[in-house]
Amino acid sequence: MQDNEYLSHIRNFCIVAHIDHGKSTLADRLIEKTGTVQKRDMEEQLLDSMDIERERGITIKLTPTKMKYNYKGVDYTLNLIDTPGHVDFTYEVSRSLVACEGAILIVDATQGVEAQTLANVYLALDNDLEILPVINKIDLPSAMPDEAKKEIEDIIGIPADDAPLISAKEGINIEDVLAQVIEKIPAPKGDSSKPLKALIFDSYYDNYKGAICMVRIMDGKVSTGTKIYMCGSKKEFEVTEVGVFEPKPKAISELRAGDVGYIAASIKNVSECKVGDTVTLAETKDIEPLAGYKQVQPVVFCGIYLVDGGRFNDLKDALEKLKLNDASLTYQQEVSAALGYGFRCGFLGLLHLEIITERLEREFNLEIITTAPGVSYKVTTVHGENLEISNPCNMPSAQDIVKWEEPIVKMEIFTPPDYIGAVMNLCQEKRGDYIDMQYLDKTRVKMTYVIPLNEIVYDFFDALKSRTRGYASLDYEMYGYKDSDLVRLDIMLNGEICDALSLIVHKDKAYARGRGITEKLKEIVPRQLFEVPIQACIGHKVIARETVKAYRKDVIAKCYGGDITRKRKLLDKQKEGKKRMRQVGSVELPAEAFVSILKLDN
Amino acid sequence: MNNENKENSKKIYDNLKEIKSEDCTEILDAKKELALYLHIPFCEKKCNYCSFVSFCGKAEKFDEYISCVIYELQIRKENNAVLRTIYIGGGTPSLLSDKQMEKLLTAIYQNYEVLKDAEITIEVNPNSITKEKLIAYKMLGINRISVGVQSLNNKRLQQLGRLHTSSQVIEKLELIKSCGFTNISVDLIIGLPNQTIFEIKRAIKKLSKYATHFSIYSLSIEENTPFYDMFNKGELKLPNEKKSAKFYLMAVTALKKLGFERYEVSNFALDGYKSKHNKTYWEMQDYLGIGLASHSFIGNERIANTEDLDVYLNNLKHFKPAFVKEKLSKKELMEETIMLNLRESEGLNLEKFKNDFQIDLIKQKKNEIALLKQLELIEINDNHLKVTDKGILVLNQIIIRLI
Repeated sequence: MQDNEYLSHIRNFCIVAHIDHGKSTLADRLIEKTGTVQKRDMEEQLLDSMDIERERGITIKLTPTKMKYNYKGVDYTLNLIDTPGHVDFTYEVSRSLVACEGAILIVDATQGVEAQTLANVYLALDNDLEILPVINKIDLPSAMPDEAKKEIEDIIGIPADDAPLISAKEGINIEDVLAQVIEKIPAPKGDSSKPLKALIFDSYYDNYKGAICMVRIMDGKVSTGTKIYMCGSKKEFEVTEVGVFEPKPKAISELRAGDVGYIAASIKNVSECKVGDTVTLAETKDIEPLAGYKQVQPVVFCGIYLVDGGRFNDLKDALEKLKLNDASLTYQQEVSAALGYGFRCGFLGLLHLEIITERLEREFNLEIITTAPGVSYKVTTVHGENLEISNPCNMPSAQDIVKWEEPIVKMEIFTPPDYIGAVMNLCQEKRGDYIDMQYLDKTRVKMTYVIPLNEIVYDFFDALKSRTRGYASLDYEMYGYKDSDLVRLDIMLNGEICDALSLIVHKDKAYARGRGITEKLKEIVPRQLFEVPIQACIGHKVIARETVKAYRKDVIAKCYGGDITRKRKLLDKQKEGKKRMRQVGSVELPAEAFVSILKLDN
Repeated sequence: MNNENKENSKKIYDNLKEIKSEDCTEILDAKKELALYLHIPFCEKKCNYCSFVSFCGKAEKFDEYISCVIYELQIRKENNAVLRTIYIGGGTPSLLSDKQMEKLLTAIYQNYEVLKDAEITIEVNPNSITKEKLIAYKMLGINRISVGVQSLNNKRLQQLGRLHTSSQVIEKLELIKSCGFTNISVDLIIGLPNQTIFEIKRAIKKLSKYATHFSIYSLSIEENTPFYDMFNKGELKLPNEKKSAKFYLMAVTALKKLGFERYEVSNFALDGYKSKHNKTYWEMQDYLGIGLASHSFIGNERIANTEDLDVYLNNLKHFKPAFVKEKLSKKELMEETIMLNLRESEGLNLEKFKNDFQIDLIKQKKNEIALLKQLELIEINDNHLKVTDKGILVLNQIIIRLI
């Protein structure tokens, strides 16, 4: 078949939506409508394959789906590529968008355009995608489709006159969506006679086939036996299987320009088929790879430990398994005096961190303790060593450090003009350097800051949301390192440093932070049989102190025949509670103590 | 009580005495000593702090209940057992008429052998106890009276929902004494709203003229009580921890001065007046609990009677007991041993513990014991692990560390 003929029957698209606006539900309806999955096999939100995603209603992992649809007597292949919607995964989203020619923009008829949607819409526009607005939830009594349309036109600036009015939940007007996908989204371009060029937009690990690349074929062809080459990781493989997602993987004989599908090639590790990399033929190694490939580096680090220290090997196994599927997760064994054996793990961002910890708890049934998230610092010592340190405990003492550099990011914040002041204040508080401000249009301003990553790993995202009533969105990229006046802040409990609570902070913020932590810990540390001083120190200098008073008295209660069982059970329960405590020197700390200090600000 | 009645009671008592002594002569060494608890779950009025199983205004059920208790006594008769102590508790046992009490005790004596010097206690409250009842008790062999005094301050008594005044308490104690009772225990509650140290001191002093035994409890706010609701609405202002600790320590000191030794967390006695019955619980000896909501502990098995009065009455009318049994595991036995033995001033016998459970507690809980010793909360001497006066205040915390 000629390329033009073949390509004209393909549409590659994604769905962009605010959380809760019905992305997964619409995806389900499209799959159902096109008969890709029999109705009896439908599970709600089919594409969100992880439990956490399904539960939170957010999509993290992309699952592409190939659908067949007959429109006006012609058979079309529709490839839906689902996209995650969080700043941690901006890079992944951007790669998914490159694989598409169009995007369905879902707007909730009861809510209108939401701030968070915008970032991804602009990302889609940046990638020259055709945007197809769709008004969802028209079945609800509070639906205001006309207002929603007007908002799309005013805020985003794309025509929304013909936007289909649908209810994904009730399956209303789904055909309109399919019709517009075919009529409005351009067919892919490509040349199957040129050497293979395929974009990896995601990967996952299969126990039998190894790491699987999810690809969009830009040019050329690939089939079983093809010798391929990964331009980024510079590795060669022989293809063992190619296929498409329906949405379950199905082997086919060949993938060609315009197609979306997968390549299996006995790849041992997902880190050998990195998102954004270009797959080509072994004999055309030196072709120009597709633009936009980035080596994704973890930027946020924290220690992960177990409440029950005896299950260390289970934790190790669990991380190994997660790593198989997640090239961006890094981990390294470490030991804490307070928490025992654990791992220092690296993540793309805070959501990524949260997802991993939640998966460890849920899928692997581990009860974990995380330490405060931090970043990786570059330190030069008086002995001329250059160290890279992501665990505050490994930081040399202040007098041994001649140069201390911290990672900075370039951050773009998109906000309605009303909140410019609020955003500026926040960025200043977080040691941000103002770079630029641009009015993109009447309703939207882009503010650019260079800001220490250290300042945004705690609660920047939440603070931004709360100060802009949810309207601002942000994006950031690593911007290098800069010299900084940092200190290590230690927390002493009953005179002993608790290593798991140590933090790196800017000198100017050390006092406030120290005070905040000691106050917070005072609430959390249960009273012991003796008085416990809680001190925040820099080196030997105490900068804040609180005291937890000693436990003085139980109720002097009777205990006769009828009271014994109840009393024993009560004490047993208290004992169980105690088991979950961490012994830090002579002091018992509940697991929450380590997390609580993260939620300090405001 | 008219003369005829008195005559009757006397006769019965003489008969009973005969039964008792007759049986006692046959006691063999092999016989198992047992403590008997009998629960009377009725009150005139429920006190505001009380969460025990007890009902008010069900006088029409007293006879029915007593019959059922007697059935239960018969059904659950332990062979080869001899009663060392009897304890009639409640509720308010003194609410029963002397006839009803007579019926009950007669049934006990008919079904069980009772040691000659058995301790036989009844709980009474000042408003329901009368001279006639006391005389009947005396004749029925009861030799220990436990009086629910709670406070000698009328405001406190009113707030607690007690039906008596402070002067009535003293009046009734005089009466009890004059009826020839020499073993009298009184209950006091500390940690009440607005209570003062002086007030407690005075009460102890006043009561010590009559009492040979004190039980001191701190007020605890239990669910499903008026106090619980009041507390949650912020209407009950309780002394803080520091203050209530002071109350307790002061009470200990005051009682010590008067010759009352603390032999358990909440219990104080003159020499020779420790409650033998209650010691049964803390030393994990066998006891049989009869009546609604009673608990038994026999051969490492705990038996909890139902707390539902209708279920209890219905079952027993068909000669069916209504209880759940629970065999204690070794771990549970160990935990209870620690928990209960440590309540007593004698403490935990480490040698016996080792023999019973093949566990050397000192070795096993080395770090905990070292810390507790360092904090002067426990001490070890004569192979006994004892909780200090300071430690008593945080007994639960100590137990948790040792179980």
